[in-house]
Amino acid sequence: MNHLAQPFRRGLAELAAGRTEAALPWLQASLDDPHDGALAQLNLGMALADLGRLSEAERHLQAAARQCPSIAEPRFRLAQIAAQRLNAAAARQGYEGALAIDPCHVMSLAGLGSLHEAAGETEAASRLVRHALLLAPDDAGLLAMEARLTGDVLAPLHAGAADLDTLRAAAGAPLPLLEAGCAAAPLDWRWRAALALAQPDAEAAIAALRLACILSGDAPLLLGLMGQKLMAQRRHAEAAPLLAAAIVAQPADAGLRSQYGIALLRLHRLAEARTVLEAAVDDFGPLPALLSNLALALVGQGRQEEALCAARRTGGNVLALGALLGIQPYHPREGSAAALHATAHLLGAQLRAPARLHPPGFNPARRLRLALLSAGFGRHPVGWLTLAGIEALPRTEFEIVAHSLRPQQDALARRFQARADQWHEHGRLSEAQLAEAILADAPDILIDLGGHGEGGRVTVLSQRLAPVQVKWVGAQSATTGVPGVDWMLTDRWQTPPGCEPHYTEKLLRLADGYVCYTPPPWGPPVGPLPALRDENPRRHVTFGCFNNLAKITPDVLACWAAILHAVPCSRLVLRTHALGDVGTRDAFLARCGLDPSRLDLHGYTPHEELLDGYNAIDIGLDPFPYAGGLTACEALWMGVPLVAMAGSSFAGRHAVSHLNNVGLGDWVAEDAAGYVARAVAAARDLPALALLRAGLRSRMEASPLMDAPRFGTSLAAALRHAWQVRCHDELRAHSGAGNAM
Amino acid sequence: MSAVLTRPGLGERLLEEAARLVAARRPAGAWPLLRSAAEDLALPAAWPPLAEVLLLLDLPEAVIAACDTGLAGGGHDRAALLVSRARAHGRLGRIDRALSDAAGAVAAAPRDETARTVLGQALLANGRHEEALAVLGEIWREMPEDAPRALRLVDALLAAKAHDAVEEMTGWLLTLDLAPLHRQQATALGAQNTLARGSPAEALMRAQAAVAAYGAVGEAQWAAALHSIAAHALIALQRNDEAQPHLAAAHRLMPGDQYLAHLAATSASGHTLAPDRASDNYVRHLFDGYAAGFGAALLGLGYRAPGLILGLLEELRPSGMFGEVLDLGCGTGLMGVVLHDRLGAGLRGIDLSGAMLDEARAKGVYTALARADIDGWLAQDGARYELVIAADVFCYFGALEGTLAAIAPRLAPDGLLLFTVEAGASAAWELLPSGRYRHSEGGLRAALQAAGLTLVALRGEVLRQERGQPLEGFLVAARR
Repeated sequence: MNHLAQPFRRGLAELAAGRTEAALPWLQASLDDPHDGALAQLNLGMALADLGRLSEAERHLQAAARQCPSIAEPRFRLAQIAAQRLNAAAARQGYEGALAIDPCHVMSLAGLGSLHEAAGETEAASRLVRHALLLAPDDAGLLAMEARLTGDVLAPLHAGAADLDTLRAAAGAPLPLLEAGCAAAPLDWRWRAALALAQPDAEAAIAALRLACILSGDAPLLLGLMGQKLMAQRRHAEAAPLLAAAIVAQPADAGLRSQYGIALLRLHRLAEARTVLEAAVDDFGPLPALLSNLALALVGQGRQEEALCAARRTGGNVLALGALLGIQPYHPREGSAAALHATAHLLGAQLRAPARLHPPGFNPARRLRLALLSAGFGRHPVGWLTLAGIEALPRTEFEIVAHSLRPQQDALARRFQARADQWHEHGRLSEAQLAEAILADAPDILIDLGGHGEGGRVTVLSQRLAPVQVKWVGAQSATTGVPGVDWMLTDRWQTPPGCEPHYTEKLLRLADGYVCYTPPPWGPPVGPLPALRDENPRRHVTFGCFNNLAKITPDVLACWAAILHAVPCSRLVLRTHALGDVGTRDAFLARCGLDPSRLDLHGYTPHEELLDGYNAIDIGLDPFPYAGGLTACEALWMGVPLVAMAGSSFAGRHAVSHLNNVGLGDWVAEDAAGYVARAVAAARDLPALALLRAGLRSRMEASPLMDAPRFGTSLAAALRHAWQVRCHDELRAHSGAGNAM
Repeated sequence: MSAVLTRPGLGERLLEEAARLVAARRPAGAWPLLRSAAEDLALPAAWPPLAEVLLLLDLPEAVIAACDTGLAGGGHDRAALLVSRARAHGRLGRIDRALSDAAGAVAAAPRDETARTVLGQALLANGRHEEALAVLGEIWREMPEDAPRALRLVDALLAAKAHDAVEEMTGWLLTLDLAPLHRQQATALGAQNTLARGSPAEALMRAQAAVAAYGAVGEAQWAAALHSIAAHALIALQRNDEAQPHLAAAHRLMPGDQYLAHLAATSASGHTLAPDRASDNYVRHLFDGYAAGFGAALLGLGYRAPGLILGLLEELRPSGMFGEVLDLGCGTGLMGVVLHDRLGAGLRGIDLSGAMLDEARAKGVYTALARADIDGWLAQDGARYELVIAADVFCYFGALEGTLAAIAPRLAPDGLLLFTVEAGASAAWELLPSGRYRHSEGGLRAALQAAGLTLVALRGEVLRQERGQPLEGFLVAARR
C-alpha cells in the first residue's frame, strides 16, 4: 500500500477503525488524486451511505461507477440505496448491473434475493440464495434468509442470528414454540423480541419489547421497533427518544427517519421535524408520506408558501390532494374559496360517483337514525363546537349512532357517549371495512366530522353510506369535493348567497350560526380591561392572537405592524404551541417584521392557563385567510372582542359567523385597511371596550352561539329539511317512473 | 432458579423502569419487567411491586400466587405483600382471608397508612362495623382535611347505616375547598345516603344537580354512580320511564359493569310483562360483550357467591376431593377457580355465552365446557355428578320446579346441589325492575320438594353489594 497517498491512507485507516465520520475529510481530500481518486470516490460514497446521507453518497458512487467500470461494488451500493428508497425496479437493475461485472458478487446475489423475497417470489429468491451460499457458505444473513425461505422460521434464531428479518420471520412461528424458546433462555433478548412481535395486542407487544430491550442492553434494532410500535399508539413523546437512538445506529432506514420526523411534528418540535424530514426527502427521494408531513411542519411554522410547495410535490392522487387540502387554506392567495374548490374538484373527480341508496320506507316525518363519524369526540374543536348542539337534538326525533375513529376518555367524550344511543369504536379500518361498519346500522343521515384533516375519513362517504350525507365541523375549511356528500352545514355568514359555485355540496344553512359553543368548566372569570388597570397608568393597549402560527401569514404580519405603529406603546401577545419550539420561535422573530420589544411570545400552556391569558388582552386580532374558529369563541367567552377579516373560503369566515352571532358584526373588516382601522379605533375608545368586555360573556351565553336549545331546534329543522328533500326526490323518481310506463 | 449469569445492574434497571411505568399509569407495561426480575433473576425485591401491578391489572388470583411466592421466599417487604394479598382476597370475596392478611400487614408495619386502611375496609366487609369505623376514623383524625381519608370514612359510615353521621360528614366536607373529583364523590355518597334512608325525592334532586355540576369531571365510575343513584331514586318513585336515560348514561360511562349493563338493557326494553325467564338470547347477548371484564365487574361489586358456596361445602364435606362436578352457568369460571383445590375428577361448565366460555377455558380449570342452555343440557346429559353448582344463575329463572326436577336425576347417590338466589319475601318468585328474579324461602322449599330433593341447608346471605347496598339472598344446599 506504499503507493497510496497519505490522506487516502488516513481515510481508509479511519474507516477500518469504525470512525466513519472522521474518514470523510480525508477521503474528500483524495478525490482529485490521479492514483486513488476513483477508489476515494467509492469509499467516500460507501461511508456516506453508511451514515444515511444517501443523496450525497449517490453522487460519489455514480462517479465511482463511471471511473471504475470493472468494479461491481459501486453499482451494488447504488442498488442498495435504491432499495432503501423503496424503488425496487432501480434496485433490481443495479444488482443485475453489479452481477454483470462480477457474477460472484455475493452481496448483490443476496440483495436480488431479498427483492424477490419481498415480492413473494420465493422460488427465485431461494435459487439466488443457494447460489450465494455456495460462494459464502457461512454467511449468517444468507443462512437466515434460506431458513426463512424454506419455512423454518426459527432456525436462524436457534443459530444465533439477531437481525430484524430474522426476528420478524420468527414472530410468525406458533406461539407455544416461541414461549418454549423464551422459557429455555429467559434472558436471551432475541427470543423475547420474537415473542413480543408475535403479540396481537399492541400494549402487550410494547411491554414485551421493553423487556427485550432492557435484556439486550438497549439494542438499537429493538429501540427502533419499540419506537415504531409506540408511534402506532400515538405515544409520540415516548417514541421520539427511542427513534432518535435507533437512527444513530441505522441511519439509512427510511421508516425510522420518517417516523422520527412525524414524532417531532406531533410534539410541536417543528424546526427539528423540518430538518429531519427535509434530510429524509433528500436521502430517500420525494416519498409522499415524507412530503406531506414536511408540509405540515412548514405550515406549522407559518411558512405557508414553502408548505404549499412541498404539499404539491406529493402528487395528484386522492391521498395527496386530501393532504394538500390540509395545507392550502392557510395560503394567502391559494387559500381562496375558488382555489380550494379547484383542488377539491380534482380530488372528487378521482372518486367514483356513488349510486343512490333506495331503502324502503322513505317517510318525511319519522324518527331518523343519525350517524356521526369523527376522530374528535372529546377535547377537540369538534367536541367544543358540536357537543351542545348534538345533546340538544330531540331524542324523540333522532337516534344517534356514533362512529368514533379514536378512543377518548375525557369529560367531553363522556358526554358524547352519554348522548349517543349506539357507540362504535373503530380501530384502523380499511375504507371498505369502515363503510361496512357504517352501513350495518343503516343510518338515514350520516354527518362527517373529520373532513380531509388528520384522522378524517370523509372520502368514505363517496361510497354512499346513507341516503343523506352531510359535512359539518372537523377540518371544515372548504368544500370536501367528495361525491356523495349532499350537504354542507353552514349559515348565512359562513356562506353568503353567491358562494354556491365554490361548493360541490348543497348548502344547508342553519337559522343562526353553524355551531354551538360549549365552554370548558374550568374557564376562569373575565377580568377587568388590562388597559384600564391601576398597574397600567399609561393606558397601554395589549393586542393578542392565540391562533397557531400556520394562520399567521405575511399579510397578517403587515397589518399587525401597521396597528402597532398606529397605537403607540401597544403590545402584541402571541400564544401557541409552536412558539415554545426555540428554532421556530427564533425564525419567526427574524422574519416577522415586528419590533421584538413589543411582542410577548408564549408556547404551550394548559387550557385553563391559556384561557386566563385572555385576561391580559384588550383586543383580539384574528388571522386570515384562515380565521379562528374555536379560538375566536374562546376569546369572546373570555370577554375579548376581535377584529376579523372576511375571507372567501369556509375557513376564512368562521370569525365572521361567530361575531355576527354575538352581535359584533361591526368588528368584521373587508380589507387590510379596514382591519387596521377597526383595531386602531377600538384601541382609542377604552371605556367602550371596557363596557363591552364586562358584558360580553353573558351576552354570548344568551346569544345563538351558546343557546343550545335554540341551536338544537335549528339543527333538527335543518336535518329534517335535508331528509324531506330526499323523500321528495324519491317520490318524484317513483312517480316519474310510473308516468313513463 | 438460583445462580443466573447476567449483566450487572440488570435487576435494578428492570425495577426502576417498572416503577417509572407504574407512576405513568402503565402497569401493563411494568408487568413483564417485574415478572422477569422476580422469576428469571430471582430478585426478592421484585415480588412486592409485581403483586401491586397485578392488583392494578385486576388479576387477583395472580396477586395471591405472587404474594405467596414472595412471602415463602423470605418476604422482602412483608407488609406490602400482605396488603396486596388482602386486597386480592377482598376482590375474590374471601373476606375472612382478606381480614387476616390485613391484620398481619398491620402487625408487620403498625403505622403504615395503607395497611391500616385495608384493615379498616376488611373489617367493614366482614360486618365488623364498630372496629372498622375505629380504624378508619383514627386514620381520618390524623389528617381530617385529607379528602380521600374522609371519603373512605364516609363510605364506611354509609355501609354501617350511620345515616346521620354520613349526612353530617358529607355536609362538612362540601364546605371545604375540595377538588372537583372529591366534591363529586362526596355528593354521590351524600345522595346515596339520602336514598338509603328512604328519601328518594331528595336523593334524586341531589344526584341530578350533581350530574349537572360534575357530570363532566372526574372519573367515569363516579359520574356513572350519580346517574345510577338518580335512576334508582326514580325507580323508587315509580318513574321508570325517566330512569331509563340515566341507566343508559351510567351504562355508557361504565360499559364493563355487568350490573349497569343489565339494568340499562332491561329498562330500555320497556318490559311490562313478567315472563318466567329472561330469554336465552338476551342472557347470551348481555354477557358476550362483557366477558373480559365480567369477573372483575362482579368482584368489584363484592361478588361473593363462589366464596359462599365454597364455605358451605367446607362445612358439609370438610375434607377429601370431589368426584365429577357440574357448574351450571359457569360464566368466566370463577367457581372453578375457587373449587380448584378440591377437584378430584372432572369439572364440566355449561354457559350460554361463547365469550364467557372462552374466558373460563383460559383459566385452565375446567375439563369440559359446553355452550348450551341449562334445561336443554340437562335433558340430554346422562352423567351423574357428585356436585352440581348454580352460582347466581337462578336469578335469571322464574319458576324453578322444572330445572330442579331435571337436576335431581343427575345427582350421584350422595351428590349435592348448591345454589344461590336473590331473596324475596312473599310470592314464590317475582321479576324485578333489574330484570332479575328473586325467590322466597317458601317457594324454594316447595320447588325442592316437588323435584324430589331434600333440603340440607338454607341460609340468608349477602350476595354482593349493589351501590353500597347489601343484596340479600339465599344460599341453598340440597341432596337426593
